[in-house]
Amino acid sequence: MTTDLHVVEGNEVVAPGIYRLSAGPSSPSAAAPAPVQPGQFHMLKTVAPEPLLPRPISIHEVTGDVLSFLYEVKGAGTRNIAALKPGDPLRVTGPLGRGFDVDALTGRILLVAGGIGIAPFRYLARALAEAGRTQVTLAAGFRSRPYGIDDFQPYLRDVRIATEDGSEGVKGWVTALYSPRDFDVVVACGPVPMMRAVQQGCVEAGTRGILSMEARMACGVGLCLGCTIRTTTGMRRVCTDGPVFPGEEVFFDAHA
Amino acid sequence: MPMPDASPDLSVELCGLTLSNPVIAASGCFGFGEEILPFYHPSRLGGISTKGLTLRPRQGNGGIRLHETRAGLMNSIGLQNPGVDAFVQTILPRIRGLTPCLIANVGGHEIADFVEAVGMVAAADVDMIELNISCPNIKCGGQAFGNRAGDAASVVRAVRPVCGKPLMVKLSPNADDLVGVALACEEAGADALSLVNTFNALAIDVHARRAVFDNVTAGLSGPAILPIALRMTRDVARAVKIPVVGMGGIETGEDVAAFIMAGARAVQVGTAGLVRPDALPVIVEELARFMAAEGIANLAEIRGIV
Repeated sequence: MTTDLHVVEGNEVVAPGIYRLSAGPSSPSAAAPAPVQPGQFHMLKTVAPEPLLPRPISIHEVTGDVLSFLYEVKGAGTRNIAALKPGDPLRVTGPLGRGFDVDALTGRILLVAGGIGIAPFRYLARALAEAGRTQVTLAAGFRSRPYGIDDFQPYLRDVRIATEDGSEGVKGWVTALYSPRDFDVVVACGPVPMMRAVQQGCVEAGTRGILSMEARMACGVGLCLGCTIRTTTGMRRVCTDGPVFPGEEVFFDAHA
Repeated sequence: MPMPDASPDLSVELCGLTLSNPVIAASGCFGFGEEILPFYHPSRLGGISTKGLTLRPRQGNGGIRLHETRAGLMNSIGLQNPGVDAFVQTILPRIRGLTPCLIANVGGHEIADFVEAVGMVAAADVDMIELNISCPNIKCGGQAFGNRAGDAASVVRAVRPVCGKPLMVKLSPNADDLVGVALACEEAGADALSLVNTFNALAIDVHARRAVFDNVTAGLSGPAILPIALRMTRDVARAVKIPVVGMGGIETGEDVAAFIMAGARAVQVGTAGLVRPDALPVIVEELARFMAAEGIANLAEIRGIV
């Protein structure tokens, strides 16, 4: 694996503070792209010297050798990425981490997204559809107007939306949109309070839960131990032991 | 005038070992060397210093562990490691073949723990011990061993008899008198010195009105510290007779050349390899190109010239 210079093909605003970036290899002679597993991430960095560190961004879609990322501008790193224009260079390292095990996701599958936690589900939904899963439901919650959900509805049986301000779908939290008992597996990605609620709901219902975690990272490849979370099997690295973890293994009290 | 050499000699001698080049992966920034295998084979480096080991396993610190600053990175990992027993039994057999210069970094919070841990690791198949004396001494009010010459020398003197391998002591830049600590470690039996560890630093979340890190302060690394680390490397290299391994913010082959010119025998690179996984072999290539372009046949030509 290498850190390759990619070329930005598109970088559009899809909602306030939310962008979708696509980038392809800088030269056609570059080696065949590594297969990307849904739920994996890449480390992205502009060629500017600051900020120093790349940013971990989950894969949103893969089209040939073009990678797409849906991301929220949160600080200096994502602000730099958001300023990129088509043709600009972007340093890309990846794919990294352990993503979703599509083979192990069967039966009635619920995807629970909170805000930008929707990002990895587009590529996952496509992989599930291609694997013949027909009972996939998405429950997505947003602060206000939804984003990132329009283009993967063909892969889903059912889409349920909640917004905190009631601008679309059900007014309130995403966790009000479903009962874990109605599903064989619940896959969640979103802010910690939502993840904690999903975990608790799954435990109470006896439904298998899968959590895709987020953490501050330096290296993204397992070297620095900066992104560890507390789990039933000790401190584990979100970057290389995750970001996808069995739901019952994660302790949320240590990093609320 | 010597002929410019297309393939300069990058090798260095360190405590009886011959390193193919002077770039060693710094402790805490390279795991145990296995994690980098998807990117390159670490035999391309001069050596590897392992994640810091302690006598017993440690979970490390809670809360935020990383904070990025302008041109730097603050960390408060808290020496998360599996302990020396798991290292010797399980990890070492897996990583032994990764490098001809495997340096086991060992820390501790009291002298008895240092002695037991160093004894176990030095008896195993490692090439060198790097002693981390930047840990707080729990029997001395939490003051780091490396802050004072007397405390530093007492650790080195205690572990020296149980350390049958070359002993390199990693100095803290937070020492009251860095050259004094260096001389005390040399006097107490160190075979080499490495410097600098991270600078004790503070970040404040002004919106939350509290320190970013649970431990309030944390260690600063990265390009921000290079000029200070370079000055300290020169100060120490001029004061001691044993080899000095310099580090602090190295990002390029020319940065390596600067540390060699300041008197370093070799260097370690940490943060740059977190920014970009393949940074270290790139730095080695850059150093070779720099030497070829400048007509430098070997590093001894430029060592300590400033």
